[in-house]
This record gives sequence, structure tokens and C-alpha cells, in this order.
Amino acid sequence: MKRQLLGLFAALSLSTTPLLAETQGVTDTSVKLGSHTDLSGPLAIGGAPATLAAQIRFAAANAAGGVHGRTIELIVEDTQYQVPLAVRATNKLVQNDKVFAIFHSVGTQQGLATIPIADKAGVPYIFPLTAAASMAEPLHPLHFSYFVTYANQASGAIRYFHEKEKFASLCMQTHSTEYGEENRRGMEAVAKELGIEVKLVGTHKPTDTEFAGAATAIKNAGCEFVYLGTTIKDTIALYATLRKLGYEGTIASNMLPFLPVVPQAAGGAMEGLQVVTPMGAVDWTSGPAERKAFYDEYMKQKGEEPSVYALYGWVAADLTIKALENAGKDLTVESFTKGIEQIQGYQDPFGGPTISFGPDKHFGWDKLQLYAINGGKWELVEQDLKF
Amino acid sequence: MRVLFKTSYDQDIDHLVDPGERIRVGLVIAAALAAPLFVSSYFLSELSIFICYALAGIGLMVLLGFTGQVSFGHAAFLGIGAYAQAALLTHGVPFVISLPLAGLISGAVGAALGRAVSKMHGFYLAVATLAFAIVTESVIGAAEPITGGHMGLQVPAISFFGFELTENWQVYYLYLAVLLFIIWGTANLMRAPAGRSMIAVRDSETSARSLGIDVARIKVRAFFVSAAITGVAGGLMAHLLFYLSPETFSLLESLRLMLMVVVGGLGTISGAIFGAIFVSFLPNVIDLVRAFLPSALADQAGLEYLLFGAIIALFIMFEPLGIYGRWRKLRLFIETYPYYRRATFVRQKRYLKSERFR
Repeated sequence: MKRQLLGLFAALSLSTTPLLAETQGVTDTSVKLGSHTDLSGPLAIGGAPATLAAQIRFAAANAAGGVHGRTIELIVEDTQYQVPLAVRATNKLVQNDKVFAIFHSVGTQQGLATIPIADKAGVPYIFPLTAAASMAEPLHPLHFSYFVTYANQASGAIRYFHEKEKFASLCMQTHSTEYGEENRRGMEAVAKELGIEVKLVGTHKPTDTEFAGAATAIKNAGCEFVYLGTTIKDTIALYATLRKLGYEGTIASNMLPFLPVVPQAAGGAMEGLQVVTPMGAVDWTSGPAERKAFYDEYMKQKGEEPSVYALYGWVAADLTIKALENAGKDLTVESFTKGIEQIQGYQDPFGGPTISFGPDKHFGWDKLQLYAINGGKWELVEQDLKF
Repeated sequence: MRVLFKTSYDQDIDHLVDPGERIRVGLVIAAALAAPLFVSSYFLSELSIFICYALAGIGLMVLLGFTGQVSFGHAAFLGIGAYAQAALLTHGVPFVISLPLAGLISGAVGAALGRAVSKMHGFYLAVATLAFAIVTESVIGAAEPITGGHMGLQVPAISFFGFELTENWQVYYLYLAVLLFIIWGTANLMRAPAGRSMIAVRDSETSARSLGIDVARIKVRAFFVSAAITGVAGGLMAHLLFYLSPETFSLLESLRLMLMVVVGGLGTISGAIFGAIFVSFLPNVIDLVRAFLPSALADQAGLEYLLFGAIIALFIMFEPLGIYGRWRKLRLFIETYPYYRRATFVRQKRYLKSERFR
């Protein structure tokens, strides 16, 4: 009798688990996604267009009848790029709105603070708008990033230029933040592998605006190649100062300064800056019909050309739709993450490199592109850059 | 005004003199205790964040409201408390010891700062505390072995003797207990000689000194108590943030605390609570304000700084007693209708000219 009861208990406890685990945010006719992003803070320049583009992509999917009969609903919370607000927003999304997944959220620290909340509820954290390695490293079944990590962007750029220029020494200037640490990690790994001497690693605070000292130190160190693990304004200031001081070597950076405003900044002093980026400049007049349709819709809603962040948002949404399609009619967290892992050789309509996932590969983009500033414009140099 | 008929000397030191107030406070505590029965799990986590801000507000209130010492860098103590808590827990110190210890560490740093600035006033004090906050941010970033530097620090979960608090209502009750304990302690402090001398220092340093109060020591003590309470608030907040990085406790956070006590009402514990309620709704208020502003201004980054500053300035100009003061006036207006006099709330004390020379 006792044994039977125990057996019954065991059977009950087993059978209740799947019942409790009925997937939150999913009904037969809808699936709910949540996003905490920056719509009004310092990174609104990225968060706002990305969110709008994702909404355009989801609206198009919903107009076509949804995915497996489910319409996609995106709930967006503004965090103003503040960690406490991101935590509150994620609590709301996960516990109150009961979203199926946290989608395309902005910020590395915001991500690190909110991923535990999503993990606790068993909610996937997919395609955040940051290339930080910590977004999907170490490997976790619920975390996916489609970017190439900042560390790999650094190693990709250094590898490429080392092959081309055969330099023996390099310098690096980066932030004294976790972003800078990651850049440094990528650079040190590849420098050790290729036997390049690291002459100087300088750091500054993200808010610094004056770089005469840092630039002089780099010039005096006598390195043949400089990698900047910086963001936008400090890249412009540092690059212009270095060139003004007469530094002649190649200077490369990652995807962050790849913006339309940068080539014309500092009165033409930006000539020759090299950046590696997963997503390139887009020729809106040609290409597949999807590209034109998105351009028209975006122009209609926002009144300006889609920026590179808009492309990131669109691709994140498109990947999510692909994963939902792969997951099939029976949508659970497991079938969805399997669906992401099934994405192979995805090609976006904007001419970027392919994206592939797998059980051990939770960072999507397979290749990088190399752009350089030439004649006040970004110019594609290399389309197939390994990292 | 109500006339209170006193039958015992003990009534002079009662926390809540007015019977009506006693009922109101009792109702609020009862509502807080019953909250998990009625509200969703999400709302409980919001309430927990609110409790952290209320605690930090009480901490700043001790310094700014009771002792009259301005601090523009109080988020630094929030940060020290949060980091101390996370680091201690990571090193295996149990929660019941780590939280008071986090408060003490933060308090010790506060006392050291208090010693350094005990002769400063006004602008100089504001600048010194601001500088302290900026230095603290850099020190946290550089102290990599303890704080994890700029890579940040993961906060372990709360556990009591091996029992882990995983549900929001458990965390909420713990936080509520800490809040009630601190409110009770602060109220006790303010009726003890130590608290009375803080108020004396606030009202006039010259007369406090003439009464035999060691002004510098009182200021150090006020900094200690204030930083310790704020440190405890930081320690609790760490568990809600899950992940700490030096930039989390920035100038904006300091301004938020400042805004809280000024808007809530300087010089009362209730003021800190009212302020925390206000700050919790502030993101919604800002969204509302943004809707009315022209888009060129509304989309501007750093709008919060402007709005925080504007709200502080407006309150100081038009309602220096804050929301709590407004509430007291309203209550008195109803209670004494039609005999309400505006002069009731005009401060009677007038400074002598000599007192302005510090």
C-alpha cells in the first residue's frame, strides 16, 4: 500500500510538471514577446529605430496571417538605458505580461541584470541589441545572440590586417568598462596566437572627451597598428587626434562607429578609418522586393532612411519569425529554441553575411565585413572576413 | 488645533501623539502586511524596490532633513552597501550577518567622509559629497579583486540558514520587516539626545554650540547613521538588481534620492515615504511630461536631469515642506475649518545676523 502510494505520488509529481510548464505567453492565436529597450535615453539612437523596424517586420507577418496561425504581439518597455528601470521592466514583462520571450533588449549591463529574471521564469532571452559575449556565453539553452562578439570583432580585424600588413606590434585604446575588458580579451588572444607584441593598452572612461594624452602615448609607443575598442564620439576624437599628431599606421575599430554621420565628422579628418561590422551599408534602389517594401514602410512611419540599427531590429524580428516557423504548431520554449538552432545559412535581404545557429553555436553571424572611410563615405573593402 | 490632554509624562515621548495618526499608521502597516494576499507577484517586486528607495530616503533624511547637511552623492553609499552585501555573500557570510555588516561598512565610510567635511557648508559641502560619489564610482571600478571591476558582480540569492528565498512574497516580507525596524529605530533616535542634538545643529549651529553640543561630532555621527541606513538599502537593492556594475549608482541615482526627500518633505520620516512613492511613479510622470513637450526637446537624452532639477527647484520655491507638508496643511484645513490660518506653518524662528557667519 505504502509503495503504491509512493508510486502514485511519483506519477502525480511527474504529471504535474508538464501541466505547470504550460508555455506562458502562447495561445492558439497569439504569441507575446517582450522587449526592454532605450527609447528616450542616451542609446535611443539605436533602440528606437531597431524597435520600430522589428514592429514593422512583425506587423507584416501578422498581416500575412501570423506564424502557424499565431499573431505576434510585441510589448515594449522604455528603460532610458538605466539598469534599475530595466529590472523593473523585465519583472513586469515576465511576471505581469507573461511574455513568451525577452526579445531584442538594449544594453549589456541591462542584459546581465535582467537575464537572471528571465532564467528564473524559464523565458528565452533572444537576440539582444548588444554584441557582448556575456549575452550567450557560457552556453545556455535559453540565450541567443545573433552578433559576432566584440572580442571576436577585435580578433577578426587584427587577424585580417596582420595577414595583409604583417605588422609585429600593436596598440589598443579602449574603455575602462566591461566592454573594454572584452575587447582586450579578444585582442590578447589573437596577439598571443599570431605572436604580435602588444606595446600599449590604454583605457579611458566612456564619458571622456579629450584624448591628446592618450593619442600621444599611442604615437610614442611606436606600434604599427592601432585597434580602437571605443564607441562613437570617442572614436571620432581619438582618430582625429591620432592623425593630427601624424600617426601613419592603420587604425581599425568595431561595428559601433559604423554610422552614416562618422565619415563627415571632424571636418574630413576621419579618412582611412577601418571598421569591421556584421551589417553593411545598403543600396535601397536595388535588391529583393522585401528590401524595398521595408524601406517604403520605414520611410512612411519615421520619415528617414533606415539606419543600421533599424536593420538589426528587422533581422532580429525576421530570425524570430523563422524560429517560430521551425518550432511548428506545437510551440513550447523547447521547440522554439530548437527552432533557432535549426536556422542555417540565413541570408537577410540587405546583403549581410549569413547567420547560422546550432546546439553549440549561439552567436549567429558567420562572417564580418570590412568598411573603410574613403572620400567622406563608407566603402566596402572586404565582404568575407573571418574571425 | 486639537487639544491633547496629557495624563502622564511618558506621553511627551510618544512616537505618535495624535490618536488619528496612530490609526492611520496602523492601517498602513496592516495594508502592507496584507498586500501579498491581494496584489500580483509583479506588483510585490515593485513594492520591494519601493521599500529600498524608502529606506535610502530615510537615510538621506537623517542627514539632510534632520541634521541639515546636504549630500549630492548619496548613491555612493547605496553602491557601497550593495557591493559589500554581494561581496560578503559571495565569500560565504550568511545573510543575517552580511546585511548589518554592509550597513556598518557603508556607515564607516560615511563617518570618514563626515569627518573630512564636518567644517564645510552649503556649496562646498555639496561639491565635496558630489566629488566623493564620483571617486567612489572609480574606486569600485578599480577594486577588481573585491568588486569584479567593470565586469560587474553577480549577486547571490538571499538564503536564511539554508532556506533560499525564491518567491517574491518572501522577499517582500523580509524587506518590509527591515523597513519597519529602521523606521522604528530612526524615530527612536530622533527623540533621543543624539537625534535632538542633530536637529539643534540643523536649526542653528551657533546656538547648538552654545548649548554645549560638539557640532563636528554630531555631524560625523549623522553621516554615520545616514550612510549606514543607505548602505542597508543598497544591500537589499542588490538582490533586486541581480548584477552590479559601478555605473549603476551614478549621479542620476543621487539626484533621485535628493528629489525624493525634497519632494516628500524635509524633516519627517513620513516625508521619505511620500517621496519614495513619488519617485516610484516618476517614470510614468516623465512619460506624461514628455508627451506634452515638443519632440525636439522630448527626444533629447538627459531629459531626466532637467526634469529632476526643475522639480526640486519648484518644490523648494513653492512648497518647501514637500508633499507631506501639503498633506498636513490639508488635514489641518479640514480639521479646523473655518479657522485655518496660513501663518500656522510659517516658521517662527528668525535668524540673528550674527548667526549667518558660520
